[in-house]
Amino acid sequence: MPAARSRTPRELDGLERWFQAEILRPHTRKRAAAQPAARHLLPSRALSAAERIGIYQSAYMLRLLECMRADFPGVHALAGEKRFARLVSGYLERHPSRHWSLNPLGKDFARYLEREAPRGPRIALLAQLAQLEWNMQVVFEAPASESLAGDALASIAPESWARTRLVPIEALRLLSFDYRCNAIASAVRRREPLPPLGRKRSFVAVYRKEWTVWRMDLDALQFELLASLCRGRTLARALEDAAGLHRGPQAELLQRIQSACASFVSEGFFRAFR
Amino acid sequence: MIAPVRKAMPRTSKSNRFGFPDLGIGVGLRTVHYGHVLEAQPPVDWFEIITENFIGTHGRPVWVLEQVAERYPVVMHGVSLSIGSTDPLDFEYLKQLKELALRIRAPWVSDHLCWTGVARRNIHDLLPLPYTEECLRHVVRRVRTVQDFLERPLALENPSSYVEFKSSSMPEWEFMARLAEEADCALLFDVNNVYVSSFNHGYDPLEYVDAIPHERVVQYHLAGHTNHGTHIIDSHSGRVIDEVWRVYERSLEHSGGRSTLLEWDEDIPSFEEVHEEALRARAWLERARRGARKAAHARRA
Repeated sequence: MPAARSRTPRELDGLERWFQAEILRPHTRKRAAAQPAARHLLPSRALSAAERIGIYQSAYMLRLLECMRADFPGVHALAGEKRFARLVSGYLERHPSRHWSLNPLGKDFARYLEREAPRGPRIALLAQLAQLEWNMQVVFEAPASESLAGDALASIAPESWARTRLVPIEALRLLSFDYRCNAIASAVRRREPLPPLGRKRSFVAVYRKEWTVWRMDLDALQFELLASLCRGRTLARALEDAAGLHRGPQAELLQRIQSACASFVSEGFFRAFR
Repeated sequence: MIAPVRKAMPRTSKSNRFGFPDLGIGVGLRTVHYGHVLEAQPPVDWFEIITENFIGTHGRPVWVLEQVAERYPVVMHGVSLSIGSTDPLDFEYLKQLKELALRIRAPWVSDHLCWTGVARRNIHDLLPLPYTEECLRHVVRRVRTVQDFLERPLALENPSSYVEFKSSSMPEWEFMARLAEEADCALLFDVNNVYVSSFNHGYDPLEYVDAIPHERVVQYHLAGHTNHGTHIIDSHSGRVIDEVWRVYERSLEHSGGRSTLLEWDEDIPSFEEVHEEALRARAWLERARRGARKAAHARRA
């Protein structure tokens, strides 16, 4: 029986692999060309074969850098142009894009900065800032859901209140940082002077409301309360978790919790209760 | 969920073999114009979207598209099909593309004759192919597979390119013409790309135009570009230059007029300016349609 003919076009496959490797070559640590461009490409009237493929080589990094700058303006501003470009180049070498869309290009950037990037000034801050900025992308892309109306909690019967669980919208992320990441991100976006860059615990909710991504600064108690609710805990249990962080009179605690819950609901953090 | 399209589709054109309608003169739907398009509802014949901006996402762009698709015909133009790659086709991507096309009732879908990466990597560029028999067989096979999956014809756009492969055994226009015939697919004829590549590779753009099977052309692209002296980059910036209008005019002499779209993607001006530039095509289109009517009349006589 004759052998089945391979449907892989071998010459085309070899050429595409060479061409791709050649585009990536200036952006990797392995700089030596496997085969000279002139072996596969014709020169033009004005450009050599190597100069012609150079157009693709520069376009590759320009395009991906532009995309990363758009997704991580805070990291870009803090790192500066040259360092940002080096970080992105290192990131893309370790985490090449395998998706048809550019949207997920930066999904591992925060983790890369935290664990894999060369150590340098403020790398931990850059990693956390990247985490905030990436989550803004995630929230932007998240499925839409209708939020509970502002007075929805009032409809819960008093006897069921303690057992009630709130269901968060999909476009909500809770983040905690060792730096003032939200303040830094805001300052960069508003082109204002940066706040102090030293360590300072901070908490933020990133959420989407009416198709716009917002960020809300939280204190530790608000963060704990919201995190408990988002984990699916009952209202009673979430209040217990948060209460552990309060130092002061009970009445003040109650007021803080009521005020926090009111702002969570009015900002549309929840889509249902059960 | 996107509501069914309620606007009336333009009359079906008999002059392209797929029966796709002649939508008139459209512009690309771009983020910077979302607000204006929703509020002012400008008198544009149709819009083209970059497919990938609206699949795999649930954010504002999809909501905007829902509103736009209720009022205007919306054609889908992709950049990630990678029809020439030797990697397997991405059926998950195609599934999402098909679903979106059904939801917005896209009159047709298009992508480029190119590849975007190999070995499971994506370079996010429209990379050039060698014009060989082997490559032609490969692309024909894949176009047929895609069309079977999508259950509709695919329109492929001629690329702009900056290199020529030594192994190419035929000119690009012959490759495009044979591909269209053998895969039975439609063509999106980008006249700016013809001009850009003709400058970069030193051939006559009108020879390219004359060799294309115009009954398979369902749409035109017009755009500006950036001339660096030694080469031209297809940057989709600025106005359409006179030489490109001449290529368009020559092609219209063959086709008698088709849906025409202006792309403007760098330093994008106001919507009105983009639309105004697109409407410059009207003079050529009307002349071509008059010519086609006269020719039809003469044939009947």
